[in-house]
Amino acid sequence: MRQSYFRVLQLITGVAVFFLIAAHVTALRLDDFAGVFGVHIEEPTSWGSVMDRATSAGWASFYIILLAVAIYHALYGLRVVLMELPWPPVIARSLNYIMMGIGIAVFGYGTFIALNAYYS
Amino acid sequence: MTEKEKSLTAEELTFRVQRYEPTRDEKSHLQEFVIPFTKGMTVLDGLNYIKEKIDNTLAFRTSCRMGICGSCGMLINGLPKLACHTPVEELGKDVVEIKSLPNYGIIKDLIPDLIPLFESHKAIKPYILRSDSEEMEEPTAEYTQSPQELEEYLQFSYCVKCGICLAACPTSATDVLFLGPQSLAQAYRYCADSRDEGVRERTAIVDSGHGVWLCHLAGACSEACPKGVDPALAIQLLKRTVLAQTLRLRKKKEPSLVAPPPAEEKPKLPVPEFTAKR
Amino acid sequence: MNVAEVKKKPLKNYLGIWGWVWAGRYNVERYLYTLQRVTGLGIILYGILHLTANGMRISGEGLWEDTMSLFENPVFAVGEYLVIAAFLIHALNGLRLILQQLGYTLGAPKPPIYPYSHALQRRRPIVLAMGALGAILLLLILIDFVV
Ligand code: HEM
Ligand code: HEM
Ligand code: FES
Repeated sequence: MRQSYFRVLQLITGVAVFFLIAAHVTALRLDDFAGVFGVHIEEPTSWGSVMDRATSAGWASFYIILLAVAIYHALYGLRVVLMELPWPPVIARSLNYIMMGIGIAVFGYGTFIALNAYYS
Repeated sequence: MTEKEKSLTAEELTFRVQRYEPTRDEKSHLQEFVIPFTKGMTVLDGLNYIKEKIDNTLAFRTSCRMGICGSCGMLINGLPKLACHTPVEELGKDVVEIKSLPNYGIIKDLIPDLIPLFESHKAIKPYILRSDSEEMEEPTAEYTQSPQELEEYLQFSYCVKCGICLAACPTSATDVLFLGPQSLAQAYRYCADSRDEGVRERTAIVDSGHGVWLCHLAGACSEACPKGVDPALAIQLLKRTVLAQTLRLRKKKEPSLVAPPPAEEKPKLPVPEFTAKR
Repeated sequence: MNVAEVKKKPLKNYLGIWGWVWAGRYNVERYLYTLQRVTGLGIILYGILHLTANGMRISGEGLWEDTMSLFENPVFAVGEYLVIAAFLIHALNGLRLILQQLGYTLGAPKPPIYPYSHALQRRRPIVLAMGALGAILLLLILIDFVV
């Protein structure tokens, strides 16, 4: 496939991940900023608070989307960095598949964490 | 500034020159030469002095000594420059370290192996591509082009193929297969030419693993370019062209036409008496 | 060695990975490239840690609370600030790169008349504005962290 299709996806996921992570970090760590947007979460990392979010369909899907988008963006970036290095031909040829494998594995694990909590 | 003033009054310069003799050396080393300073001298003048008066085994490329031929690219005090276009005073130091251009092989002393540069330049088809092959084989007239159409690419056509941009490019520092700023900029120079129909063909070449998308807009190539070509700008415009082509957003534009034959012969001006009689 | 052999084997002279990091006194954008790369890879590193820590949820409340109490250590607070700072820098610079890598905001080619300038240099105010915005946000986030 044309490299430009992958690249355009990275640019789009870059914009998406900007809003998603900004929202994530603001809600969970920057309480003063969150206050500006009228959001306030008590003790965001306590077990009760985390489980409240994990069992709400809205938050669970937010995290699964964030996971997918961030993994695509990050692994495309990592692939570009790795491609610029001199590898033995075998690795150079299979780099795309290695990246895809890692991506699917990490996405599977992350979704498992999220769904495991959602159905608990 | 004080150092600059010092070099203005300095009587002697120290040139630390990279030496590598392929039949003998495993590694390169720096050799020091002390040469007299004359006002307005360039780094190339210093090297010529060494070759003529001190050590004639020193090897470097030079031809035009005026920034036209692109032979004399070297790493001068850590930055890639044309030796003939770099006055010693501008460096502000009386110790000048001269090395072969990085991101190429070294053939001998200050002579970089520019073959990869020329190969990737050839790979992007640096010539007008047209579908009217008959006209290309047997041209009847020139293709027309307006001054506005010329300005679309004129800046990028000043490239002298000195290879300095690859020495500055961080991607070229590790990736031998990367096409490099020089050839990518030239790919855009031809794609932007109103006479050309090669966007599709060049897209297929440039939109590859080691093509345009390994450019990260560090802009070092444009900073280093001794001819003001601005390869970084050309490459970003090339990215846009490539995306428009692969996402089928590109407006179909007819390439410029063959100039029409003149409507009628203009009457010749009478030849002045004093020249015709000779 | 005969001539043919010599011709075949020029001495390798690539700057290598160090050439990504430092290459002399170039323009700001040259080092924003380095920063973009370092922050991107840094956030990936944090992501690995983050997912591992998040995985503790599977084992129930006890292990989760133990893990979270570990992060109350000031060392981790500094770490979290660095992660958010890296994210912010990467994000702002990334938005600039998205625009500029598609040829927007760079302007049209300009015939090279001495003294030469290049498009990034002529658009330096964009980078400076971005830097100022980033610095203000970093300060506000720091205040949020400390308060
Ligand atoms: C906040 C929103 C983000 C935006 C707008 C953004 C934008 C970008 C852009 C435009 C690039 C390409 C730069 C280039 O051509 O070199 C890039 C590269 C990269 N990004 Fe992001 N990014 C964001 C978030 C992230 C996150 C969260 C991660 C990690 C999980 C990440 C990891 C990377 C990596 C590893 C690269 C490759 C760096 C390189 O090639 O030098 N980015 N990003
Ligand atoms: C330093 C600030 C951060 C804090 C305090 C934080 C905290 C958390 C917490 C507590 C969760 C569990 C879900 C929940 O309770 O809502 C979570 C999930 C998540 N975070 Fe963060 N996070 C931070 C930064 C980031 C960054 C920079 C990224 C991007 C790489 C990120 C990506 C994720 C993802 C993908 C999940 C979902 C994991 C899953 O359920 O599989 N976080 N974060
Ligand atoms: S000798 Fe021709 S460019 Fe320097």
